[in-house]
Amino acid sequence: MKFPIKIYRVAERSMEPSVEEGAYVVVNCNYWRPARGDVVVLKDPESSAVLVKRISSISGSRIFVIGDNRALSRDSRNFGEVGRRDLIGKAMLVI
Amino acid sequence: MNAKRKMLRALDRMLGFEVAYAHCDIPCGIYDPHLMQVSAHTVVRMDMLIADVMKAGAQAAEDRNKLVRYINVKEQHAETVKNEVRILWGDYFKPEHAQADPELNELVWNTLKLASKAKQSTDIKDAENLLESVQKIAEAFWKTKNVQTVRARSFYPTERTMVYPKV
Repeated sequence: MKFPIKIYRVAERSMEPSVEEGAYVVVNCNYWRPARGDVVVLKDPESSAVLVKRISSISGSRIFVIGDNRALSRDSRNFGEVGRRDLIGKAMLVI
Repeated sequence: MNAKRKMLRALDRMLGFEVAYAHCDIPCGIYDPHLMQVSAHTVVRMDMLIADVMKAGAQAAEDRNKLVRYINVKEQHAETVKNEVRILWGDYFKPEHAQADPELNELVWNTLKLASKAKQSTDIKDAENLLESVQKIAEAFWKTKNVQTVRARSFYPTERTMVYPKV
């Protein structure tokens, strides 16, 4: 059974200043309708890692995610759009 | 650190929360526009070789084999240009670089388009346009580091120039 709420520790700095390194994000893994501006946790399309990014735009089922700290971020500018099934959940709280 | 985070950190030590990488790049800080220029030269060279084979008629199986190989290499190197440009654009160039050089974003965008055009075409002019655009990116890159550049002979069979940093 998929647990509906998960907590992730954030490593690295591409989401600063909104999500700083060492912060914790409480993620709702239930279905939700993704929207532009959502901070999301997703599967890295290029590795087995889990990423935290912000949805920049949605075109049909294709979702463009980007880090708030553009200069440091590796995101859809590098690996392209992601699909809905790549999204693990939406960050409800950043602590 | 706030009290909530301290509490979560203590829980983290006990339970071991999964890590979500915000960045997931090194970043190594090693960027260089050299490879994109070498690849653009290769695209030019492939168009030269394709033209040579076509002049000869390209009827023999051996000629056709050469043609396919040249086209494959041209395709790969045009893609390498695109990848290298994307890395500079996505990882290296910062908003202040685009502010200081208002043509930078359009230059990057045009270069990506020209690389696609060079894939589609065997006209050497398209490859030359790509090389020129890549060299402008190389100059823009070194400018952000306050390093002067020079366009000098490449010593490649393309007989065209390379942008080098003046060191």
